Amino acid sequence: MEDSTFDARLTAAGLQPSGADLPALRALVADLDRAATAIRAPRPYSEEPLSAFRLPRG
Amino acid sequence: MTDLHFLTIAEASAKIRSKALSPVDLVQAFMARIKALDPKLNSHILVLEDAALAGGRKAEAEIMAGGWKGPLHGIPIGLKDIYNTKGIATTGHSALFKDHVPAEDAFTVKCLRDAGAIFTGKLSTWEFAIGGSSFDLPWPPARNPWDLTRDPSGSSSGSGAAVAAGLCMGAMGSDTGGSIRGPAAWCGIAGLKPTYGWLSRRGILPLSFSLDHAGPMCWTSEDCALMMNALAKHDPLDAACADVPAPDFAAALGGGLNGLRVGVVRHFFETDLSTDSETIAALEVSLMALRDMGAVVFDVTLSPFGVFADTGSLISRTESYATHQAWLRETPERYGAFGRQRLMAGAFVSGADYVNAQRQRAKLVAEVATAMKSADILVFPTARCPAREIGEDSMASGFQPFFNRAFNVTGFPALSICDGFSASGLPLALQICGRPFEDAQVLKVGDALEKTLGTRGRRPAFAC
Repeated sequence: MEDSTFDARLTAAGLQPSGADLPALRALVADLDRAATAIRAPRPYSEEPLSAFRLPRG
Repeated sequence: MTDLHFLTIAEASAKIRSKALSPVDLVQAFMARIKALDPKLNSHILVLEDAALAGGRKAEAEIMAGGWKGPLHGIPIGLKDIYNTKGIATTGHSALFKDHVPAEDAFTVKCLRDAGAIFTGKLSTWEFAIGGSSFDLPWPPARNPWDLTRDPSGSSSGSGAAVAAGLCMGAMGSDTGGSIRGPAAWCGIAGLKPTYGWLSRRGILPLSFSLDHAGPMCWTSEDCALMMNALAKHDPLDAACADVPAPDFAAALGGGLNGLRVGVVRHFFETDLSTDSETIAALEVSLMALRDMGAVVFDVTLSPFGVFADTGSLISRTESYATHQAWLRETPERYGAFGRQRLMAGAFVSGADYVNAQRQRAKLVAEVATAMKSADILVFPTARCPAREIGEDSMASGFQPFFNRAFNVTGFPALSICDGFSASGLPLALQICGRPFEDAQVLKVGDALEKTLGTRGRRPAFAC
């Protein structure tokens, strides 16, 4: 399951790593997936990052 | 008498100003050092011998005519090879940019040039400041001068190695996830990641726009302060560059630390990530020294280090991929394996997760700002252990040797200094973090500790 997800995402990105790259790339992606899961949470407006819409006063 | 190549910038500058030291002699001394040592150290991609000698002659003529420009006039400085230099190749240590010759200097290069600095060489880096100590690139990886079988860390690997070995007096590094402080720690020097936005990044090969910092790497905190005086200039063409008045960073040194409030982020190294006993022992000696100087030391609790690391890595990987996307699709074979793998990984982060990480970042910034209402500085080790074997790749193995990410994510200033040595003779390091735009305070503490701990009298045996 994880492999098909990995392959599908790789194809969608238009990337063609060599076969030798795949074990390390899979490990890096697994770590990013873990990181994303760890910090996923509902966020209030107070936690918005820099706001492109915080316009300077004229 | 100290050899010319082991003078600090402050010491050499005083001699140059008084006309007791010729910039030409200084440059020649460093060129001889590079020729003798760099075939084993690999800290340089390109040695700028002719330009440096011409620069030495020009500086000497200017100074003899009464035109001393300041403490960097006639001082040999190395540049990490991601800093654009007009008419001189800037490769990113990559085959992809092997023939890249910029038309203009980076803004910070121009600042140093205006201050009279002399560029001695373009220095090794992890490929595009991300790849790792790699053996499949056009140039070999830099080695650690304290033990040539060890990794200098990166990505400013050549900068750390060259300064520690006395192949230049100061160097420019860059820091996206710890790339100034890591090599500063493992090479036993001082490295400052300034407040995000204080130094311009224009003309530096980009990696991750919201995490990239330029900064100085020198033998001492005092020398970093002297470089900051030349570097902290507003650049309206870097959107993140803050238009804030810069203090005299060097003048802020000294004066004692009585009453300084020092927060120790103890859970980072005691419970979040295991840390070796010699590193912790060196930190405790530093804390004792701070108490002896009148500082008040107490523990501070932040989010677990892993939250900072996860947030930083999601943002860094995604932004790095955005920078390299077209090349990764079209010519992936021109990257080394480590760089290619690490950059490609960013393609797998969803837009939702990138935005979520930026939101988490806002929360972490607020959290650290709150902690720093009761603490003037925060301290913890820079690294969990002394330098590892080269080739013992930390990122591929999943081992994270450093506590650096937290202050890229928040953007607060962070300095690594050498605070001792392991029984095997490898440098140990302390990280000192401050409030935004209070970099002078951070350097003041680093300078006081260096002078008290007495670590600056010891150089790598390879370089002596």
